[in-house]
Amino acid sequence: MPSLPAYVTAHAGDAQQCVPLLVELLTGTPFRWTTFDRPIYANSHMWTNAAIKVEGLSLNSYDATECQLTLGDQSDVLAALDLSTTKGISGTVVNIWECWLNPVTFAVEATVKKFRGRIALVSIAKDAVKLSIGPYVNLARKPLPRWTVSANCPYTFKDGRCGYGGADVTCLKTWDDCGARNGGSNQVRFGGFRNLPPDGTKIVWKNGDWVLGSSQRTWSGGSRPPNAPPPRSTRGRR
Amino acid sequence: MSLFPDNPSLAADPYVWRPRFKTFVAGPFDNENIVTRAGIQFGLHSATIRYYQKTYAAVAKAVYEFFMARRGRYDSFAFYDLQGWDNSPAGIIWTNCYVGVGNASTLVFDLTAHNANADANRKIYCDGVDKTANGSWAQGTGADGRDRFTFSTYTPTAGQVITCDFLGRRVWKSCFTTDGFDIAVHDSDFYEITVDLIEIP
Repeated sequence: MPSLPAYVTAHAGDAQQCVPLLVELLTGTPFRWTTFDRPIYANSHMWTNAAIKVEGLSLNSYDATECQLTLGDQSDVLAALDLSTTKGISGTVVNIWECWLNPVTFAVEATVKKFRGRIALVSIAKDAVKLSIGPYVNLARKPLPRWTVSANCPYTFKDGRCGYGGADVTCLKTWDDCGARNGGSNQVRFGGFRNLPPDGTKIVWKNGDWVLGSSQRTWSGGSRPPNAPPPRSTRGRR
Repeated sequence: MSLFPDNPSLAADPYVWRPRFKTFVAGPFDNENIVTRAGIQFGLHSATIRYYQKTYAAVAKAVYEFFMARRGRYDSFAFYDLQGWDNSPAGIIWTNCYVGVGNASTLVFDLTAHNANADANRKIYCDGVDKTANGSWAQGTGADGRDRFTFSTYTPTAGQVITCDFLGRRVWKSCFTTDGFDIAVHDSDFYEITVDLIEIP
């Protein structure tokens, strides 16, 4: 198979083209279809000439972020997408290539990646299954980076950051409980901020001073929680 | 796959068929030029079959029963081109008929021909290279009465497109274009029927 640059050099400006699409649905066992009227062997795979329609992609345009697939042969796809649990619907990757065929012999000369996305929506009509394909990276589904400040340790018990490798199967995530592991030696890896009040303690600014809110559950360390900012009046005199 | 009623007495008059392709066209541009893009590689056909005037009850019954059994457009079927019902179409040599795509192991392929004439027009190609001498062509031994070609001294490689030429009856994978049709009943036990069918890949 010639390279794409070689193909473009040979056929640039041709008034006739034949550019069917190759559609790959990356389920457990990938589906590979072509929009052409016969199977196409390309990229080391056989692409079936299935009942499929691709909409929303323009020829020779490679900046699309969404498109729609209409599938006539639907039962296998629905089974693969596991509609009963919604598992595998959103997030299933869809790749689409242009398959550049020789305009005279219709032999495969090159393929070029045209689109990469993920299934965003599945709708079942009377005559076909329609897949709406969204962007590959969906920012709305990405958790933003964040820093958790807590008296409790945020690490997963026994993972690399926890470091504990003993027989226990759970811990309370507290400084004291961490000290009960490995004779206290595990505390060097404790991931919480042990001088903060325990989780659930609510500290509010009230009448010019920091006080505990009504949701206090366990802390009873005095009139001010440890490490809480001093009252404004005190701060001013220092 | 079911077979459309195939009997010389069913030969329709007139029988209208149309080859067709699918081409995407951009333009015309300012200089009146157009750019075309092929949607399919192989020609498909459609046909209008009119059973007219001389159609008897048995023929009308056969067509009606076949249509009902297909549930209108629901089911596909094999159709032997009527123009060559007597195996001698008017000089038409079917060329570049799609057979299949090789996978480096399959040796037996059913053709889009039914009882093709055993003459020099009968050819098998792999990616356009004549491979007729690399196997044997058997009449009517494939599915739906199709002719069958068996490679013996060559194995089509993965992705090789296999095509054939022949003189004889062409077989279409078809379906009706409508979910209903009219049967006009004349006196003297004559019937008038028109059905449309379309070839699908």
